[in-house]
Amino acid sequence: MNKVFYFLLSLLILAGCDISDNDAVDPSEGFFKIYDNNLFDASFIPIDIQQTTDGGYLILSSKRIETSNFTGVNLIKVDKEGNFIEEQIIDEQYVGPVDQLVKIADSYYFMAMDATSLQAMLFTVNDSSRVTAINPTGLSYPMYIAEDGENILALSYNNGDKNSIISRISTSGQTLQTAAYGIGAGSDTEAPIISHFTRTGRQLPFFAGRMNGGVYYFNGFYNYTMSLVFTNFGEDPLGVVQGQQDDGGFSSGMSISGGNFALSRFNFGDNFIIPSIDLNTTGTTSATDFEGNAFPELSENAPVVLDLINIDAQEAILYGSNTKSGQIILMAYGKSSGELLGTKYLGSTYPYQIADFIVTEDMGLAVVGNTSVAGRFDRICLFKLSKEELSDLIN
Amino acid sequence: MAKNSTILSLAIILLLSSAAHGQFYKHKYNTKKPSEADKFEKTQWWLGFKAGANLTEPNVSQQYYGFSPVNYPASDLDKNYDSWDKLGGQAGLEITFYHQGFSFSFQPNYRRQSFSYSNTYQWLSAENAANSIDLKYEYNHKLDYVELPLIIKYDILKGSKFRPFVQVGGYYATLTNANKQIEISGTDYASGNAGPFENQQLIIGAKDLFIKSSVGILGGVGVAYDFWNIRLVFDASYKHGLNNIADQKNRYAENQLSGLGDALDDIQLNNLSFNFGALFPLRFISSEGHNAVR
Repeated sequence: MNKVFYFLLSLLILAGCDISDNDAVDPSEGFFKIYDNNLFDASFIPIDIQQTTDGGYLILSSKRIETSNFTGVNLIKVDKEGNFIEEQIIDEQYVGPVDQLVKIADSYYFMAMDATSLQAMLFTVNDSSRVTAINPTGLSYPMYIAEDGENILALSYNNGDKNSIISRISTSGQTLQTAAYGIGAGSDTEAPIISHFTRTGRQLPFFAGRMNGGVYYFNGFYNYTMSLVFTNFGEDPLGVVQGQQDDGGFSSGMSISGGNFALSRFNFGDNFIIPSIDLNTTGTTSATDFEGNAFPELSENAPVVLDLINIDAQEAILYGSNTKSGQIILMAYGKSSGELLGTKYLGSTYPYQIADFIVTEDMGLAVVGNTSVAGRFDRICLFKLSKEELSDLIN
Repeated sequence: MAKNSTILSLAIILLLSSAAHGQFYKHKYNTKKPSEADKFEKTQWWLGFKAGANLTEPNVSQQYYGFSPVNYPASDLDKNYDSWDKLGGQAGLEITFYHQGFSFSFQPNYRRQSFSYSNTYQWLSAENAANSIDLKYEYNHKLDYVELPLIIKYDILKGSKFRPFVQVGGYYATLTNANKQIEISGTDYASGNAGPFENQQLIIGAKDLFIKSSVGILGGVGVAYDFWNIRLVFDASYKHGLNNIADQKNRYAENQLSGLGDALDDIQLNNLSFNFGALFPLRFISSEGHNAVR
C-alpha cells in the first residue's frame, strides 16, 4: 500500500507544478492578434512596427482611400498584450507612407508625401501614437527611410530629373547630405517605380543603410536596373551591384561588418538567401554572380525582411518572408557560420504576409503582417513570440 | 485564487489518501478479534467495473480573443458556450474498502468530456447596407483524461439490500488526448444573392492547447443493490474543476485555428457523471449456503 500512497503523492506534486506553471504565464510573452474592422470595404496594409516605452506597440499601416491614387496613412497603438487601444487616421492630405517606422531617442518617425505636391514629409510621433510634428524635407516620392544614428537616411525619387536620391536628414527634416543617381532615360524605366507608389504593381524592395567606415548603400533604381549602390554622397557611386531591370536584384540586405553583407535576391520570380557574402563596394558586379541558397518555397519575388539579432546569446541573421502556401517563414542563420540554424512558420487557415519584425524588450520577437480574414478581408495581424519560442527557432 | 483552489484540492486528495492509508493499518493492527461473520459484515474489500455517461459545463473565468476589433466593441466577440449538452462517457475500475458504513474508494477511469462554444461575425459594407457577410464558427472540444478519484462513501441505510449512499471526494486527472472540431456556416449577401456557405468541417489535434493536469472535488449520491454475490451500484456525481485547463503558453502559439480569431478561454470544467457498476467482494465467508454479502 505504501507504493500506491507514494505514487498518488508524486502525481499530486506533478499536478501542482503543472498548474502553478500555467498560472504563472504572462499573457504579454506570447500572443497573436488580428486587428479586425467590420467594414466590408476596409483593407489595411501593414508597414512597420516599434515597441513603445510602456511595452505596447505602434504599428504604421496604410489603406486605400477614395481621394487619391496613393494609399492613406494609419497608426495603430496596441497594448503589451496586443489589444487594440486606438487608431490615428492621418489626414488624407498625406499619402504613401514608406518603410520604416524609425525610433530615435523617445520619438518615432515615418515619412509620407503630400498628396498634391508629392513632397516628402517627415512625421514625428509620440508613444501614444499622436503626431507631434510634420516637417517638409525638400524631397519628393519618398521610398524608404532608416535610422542613421541621431539622423535619418532617406531614399527618394525625383521624377523630374529621373534620379534616385539618397539623403541624410535631421529629425526636423533638414537635409544634411544628398546625392542623386540617374535611373536611366525613358518612361519604361520609371513605370515600375510609379506602380510601386500607387500599389498597382509589385512593391519594390527599396532599402538603405550605412556600412562601418561611413560608406552608405541603397537598393534602388540606378542605370536602368534595381541595383545595390555604394556611395559617399559623391557625384558617382563608389560601386554598384547591378540587378536585371526590375526582374532581378536584391530583395533585402544589410551590412554585417564592412563589406560583408547578409542579403537575399530575386531573379525572375525565384528567391535566394545569401546569409554572408563579401561584396565589392568599389566596382561593378552583378547580383546574379552571387548564387545563394535557393528557396523555392518562397512566393514569387517574395518580399524579405532581415535583421541581425541575438537569440540565446548567439548572433543570428533572421530572415522573414512569405511562402507559397500562405504562411510567414522565419529563417535564422548563424552570423559567423552562415549556416541555417532553424526555421519557423507562422499562421494557418488563411494566407499571411510579413511586413516587418522587431526584437522586443523581453527578448522575444514581434512580427507584423497581414492576413485575409474569412479569406476576404485584408487585416493587420501581430505575432508575438516569447523568448522561449524564439530560442526554439535555433535549438 | 486559482492557486488557492489548487492547494485546497491537493489537500483534500492527500487527506483522503491518508485516511485510506490509515484504515489499512488500523485494520491490520486491530487487537480485538471479531468473529469471522462480524468481520465480514463490518469490513469488506470490493473490486469491480464501472461505466457511464457524463455531461460537462465549461466555467469561463476569462475570455480571450484572436481578433482585436478596431471599430466595434470587443464584447461582440464573446463566445456563446453550451453547457450540459455534449454527452461524454467514462469506464474504469472501482476498488473500495468498506468498514462500518464508510467506504474508501479508488476509482481510476478513462473519461471523455466534451464542451462547445460558438462565435458569430458580421462584416458590413459602408456603402451598401445589403452587402454583408455573416459567419458562424462552432467549436466542439473532446478531451480524454485518465482520472484518479479518491472517494469516501457513507451508507445511509445499512443492512438492507438497497443501500443508498452519499459520497464526497477529489480527483486528479491527466490529459491523454484532445481534439477540436470546427464547423463554419454563414451567409454571403454580397455576391449577388443570399448565398449560404456550404458547411465546412475541420478536426484538429488540440492536446497542446490544454495542460496535462486537472484536479477537482466531487460530491454525489447513489444506491447499491446486493444481488447474489454481486453489488450493483448506480451513482451520480457532480465534479467541480479547480484549475484552469487551458494552456496559457500555447493559447495562440499552438492554435491552428487562431486565423479564425479563435483563442481558448481560461476554463474550469464542471461535470455531471452517471455511473453503473458491478462490484465483487474480495473476501467471502465460508458457509454451506454461500450467503450473499450484506
